[in-house]
Amino acid sequence: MMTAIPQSAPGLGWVFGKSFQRMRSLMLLFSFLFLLAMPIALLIIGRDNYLTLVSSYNFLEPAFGEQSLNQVLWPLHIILALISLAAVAVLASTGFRTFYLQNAVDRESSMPLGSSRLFLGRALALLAAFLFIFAVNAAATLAVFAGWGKIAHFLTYSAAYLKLFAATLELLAFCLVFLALSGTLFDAILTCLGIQFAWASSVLHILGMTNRLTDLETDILWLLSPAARLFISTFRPLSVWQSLIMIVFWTIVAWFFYKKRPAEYAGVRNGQLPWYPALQPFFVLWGGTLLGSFVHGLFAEEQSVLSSPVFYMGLAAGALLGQVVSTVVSGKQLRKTKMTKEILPVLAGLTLFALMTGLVCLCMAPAAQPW
Amino acid sequence: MKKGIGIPGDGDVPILTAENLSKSFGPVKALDLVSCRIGGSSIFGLIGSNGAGKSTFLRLAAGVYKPASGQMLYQGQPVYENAPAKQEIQFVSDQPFFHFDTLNKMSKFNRSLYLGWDQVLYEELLTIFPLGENDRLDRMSRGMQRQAAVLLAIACNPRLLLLDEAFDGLDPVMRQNLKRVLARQVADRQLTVLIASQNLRELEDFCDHVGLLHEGGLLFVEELDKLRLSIVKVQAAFPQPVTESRLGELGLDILQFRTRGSLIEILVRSSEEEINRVLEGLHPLLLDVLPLSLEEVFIYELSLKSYAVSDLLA
Repeated sequence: MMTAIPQSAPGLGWVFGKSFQRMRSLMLLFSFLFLLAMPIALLIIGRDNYLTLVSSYNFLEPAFGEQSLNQVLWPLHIILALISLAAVAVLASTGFRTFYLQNAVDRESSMPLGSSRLFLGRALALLAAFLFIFAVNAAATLAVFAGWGKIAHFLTYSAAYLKLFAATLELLAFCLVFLALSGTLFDAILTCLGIQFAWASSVLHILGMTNRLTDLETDILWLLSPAARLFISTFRPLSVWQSLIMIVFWTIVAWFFYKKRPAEYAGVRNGQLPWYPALQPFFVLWGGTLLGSFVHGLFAEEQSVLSSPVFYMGLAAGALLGQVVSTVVSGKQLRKTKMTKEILPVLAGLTLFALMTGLVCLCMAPAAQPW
Repeated sequence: MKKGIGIPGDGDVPILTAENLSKSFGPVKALDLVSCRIGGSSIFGLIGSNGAGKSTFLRLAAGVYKPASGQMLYQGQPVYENAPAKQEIQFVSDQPFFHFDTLNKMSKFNRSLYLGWDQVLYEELLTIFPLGENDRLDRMSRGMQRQAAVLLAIACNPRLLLLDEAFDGLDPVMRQNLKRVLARQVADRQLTVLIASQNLRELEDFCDHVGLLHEGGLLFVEELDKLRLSIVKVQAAFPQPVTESRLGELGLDILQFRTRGSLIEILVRSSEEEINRVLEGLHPLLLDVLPLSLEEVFIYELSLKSYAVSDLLA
């Protein structure tokens, strides 16, 4: 027999408001850092110096790759990308830090709010915080250029700025996946950074092996390293639409994991969680490409990498080593692990390597530029 | 052993129902097929050995954990991911967490979150628990933080209050204050309190019912008065030697029999009147019938499950 229970009052707006309130001071701090890095820096440089510095270059100068950057804006833009990286790590972990403390989980999970509402409210608060940071900085930069009578410079630069904003949100959504999956904040940050670093490093090795760099098609290789995209967007023409699709994709993935996240994950090291074996192929890929390239460079440099037996021996040894490291990192004792369980991630990692190399070879452009 | 038993409470619809409830953490089974019903307007004490599953049971009741199998129902509805049900449930864990740094901010937070927030009650509770509204919660002692958490939970006017080790860190005066406040809420507002504690002496004069959890199973659920009166300890001396079998023949259900010289100490599952009636026939030189404390019942019940306490009752 059921009795009536009153409907809950607080909704998405409530979660958004409270989350936004909690990250307000950090948002203001990063807004200030943005202002310092761009409009205040421009004011310090001064109009005359700025114009002198950019007089020998124009926005179409191919040396800067991205057409909307000039000699002065390029380093400032890189600094903005670095601050964005820090802002994502700090703001995202502030918004979701209560995941990792048992008493906080006890409190939040017993509150009259559904997990989807909690996730969406927090994600929207993060989005609002970044919108605020980027909008304030854009307005101030526009004001500086308007004051200098060079609004056209800002309008040209805005394309790169928008791409940076899109890449930042993509990285944010990617981070949310690991924040939702991990048992401790430290592990979440470490895993998120680790996977991106391992992926980017492996991609660079694989691209280096083929000695070719293709155009937009190989952007797909960077999908697992949104942090790299913050900087790549400075050099290469990247599609904002691609970023938008990835933002939606990673947000949905993060929401799915958040919804499925058991409260008992709080405080548990990632190595002990059931999804950890899915991460191990990345250790394998990284270890394999790194050691393979190293021994190839040492013993068979004159030979092509992909036809070098030394490389494949290094790849196999590095793959096994990567797997051993991943098992040790997880806190499991090697002597207690089963051989079959250890071999599967190695095979998965090597398959991943074969797929990536195949993709790169397929997409090779005849006149591709070296990286 | 694993099956839950007993139907405490006098309400028609149990406020909380566990049906074949199980929860595991990896290979460890924290709760295994626990079933029980907790009636409204009562104080239910959940006792058990370390790692018995008390906190897990409370977290399942609060909708923090999702049951691995079985159901935890609040007024007939599953608690997990049920926001309307959670409007009426408050859970104070053994380490309270506060989203904001002062009681004042937390009261505003709860006021905006819970439909049942009672500002008058909150202000009244502030006079009972002497806490500074603008003092920083993270700088308060553990006992004061616990007072703050309980105060905030009660002011939300819940129908079900779940307390994990609520008396830990409270001084004797505050413990009595808390008991009085809870008893009044139960009487005036039909509050149901489910309290897990290792401190059996605290629960003894406070709970209506108790449930004993051991190794993830519910050993019993019983009305406290009945429980205490159902097993008694007898110290007696007789002019002639009396054996355990002799007492058994007289119809006493002897649970434990010990002799110390001419003094006999026995645990009997029977009422005091019945024991007096039977033993008076043996013309005792000395006869003391003592009800067991909750702690002694706890130790005795666990000793039946081979828990390492069998000699503690001696």
